[in-house]
Amino acid sequence: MLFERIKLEDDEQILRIVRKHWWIIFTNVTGSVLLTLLPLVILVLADAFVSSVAIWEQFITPYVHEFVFGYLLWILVNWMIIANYWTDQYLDLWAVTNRRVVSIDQKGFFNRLISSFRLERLQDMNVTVSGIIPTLLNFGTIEAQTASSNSEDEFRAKQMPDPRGLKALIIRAADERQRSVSAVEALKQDGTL
Amino acid sequence: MPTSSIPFVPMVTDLSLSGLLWWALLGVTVIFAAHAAVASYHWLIYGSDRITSLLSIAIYVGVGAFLLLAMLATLALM
Repeated sequence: MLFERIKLEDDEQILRIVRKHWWIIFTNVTGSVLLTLLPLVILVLADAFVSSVAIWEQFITPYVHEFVFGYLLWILVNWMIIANYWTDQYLDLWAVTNRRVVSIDQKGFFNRLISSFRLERLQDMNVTVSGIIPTLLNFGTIEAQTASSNSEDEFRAKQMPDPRGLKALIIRAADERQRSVSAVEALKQDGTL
Repeated sequence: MPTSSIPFVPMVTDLSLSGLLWWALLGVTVIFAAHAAVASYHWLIYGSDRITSLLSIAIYVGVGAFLLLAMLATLALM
């Protein structure tokens, strides 16, 4: 599984795993469900507007099995698209540990970016919540600037739930990490270690 | 139409609509199987929770198989 691949260090503990807000997959899946229902809506509308029974008997009734087959195929295609949305939702995540933050960005099945930064390298964090729905549902973009990052995009996660809470958690963990690193360095300078 | 060893599955040797739909079913079954295999691999290997991964695979493959069987039944009834 994931954490066997990330290879956590000794004494490294996972503080939180954060995925995109549920609203994102909800809107994607709703779109697919509406697309799935679209042929039925068209059929109902056609039934309402095409009053001639002869047209139905000539063009629809003889091919009812073919229409059902095509509709089932359409549902299956949308089902596969929903699986892709779920893959993005499930595999895209930020894992916050007491040592580092691991960012996993899954784009489709064959494009995966895993990056991480150590908490003692954290310099600044920004949170952006823009829009009515993100404000109401409390999700937004969180960005982390580190001492070593060349690209600001490297540690940016969009549509994260409770970004302020996540920022507070990371900063608290970074402070604790900084204190423990400073304590170890002080002991080394004293010659105790 | 000549039939194969499965009684209701015709040998698809003509270019009728029915014949094309049998080929379409075969094609979509292969595509779905490949997609399900790739998705399952990713969910199992890169997922963070084994139970969630297994549940996702069961639901995805189960619903997909049901749809394919429904398509098969539709063609068999034609």
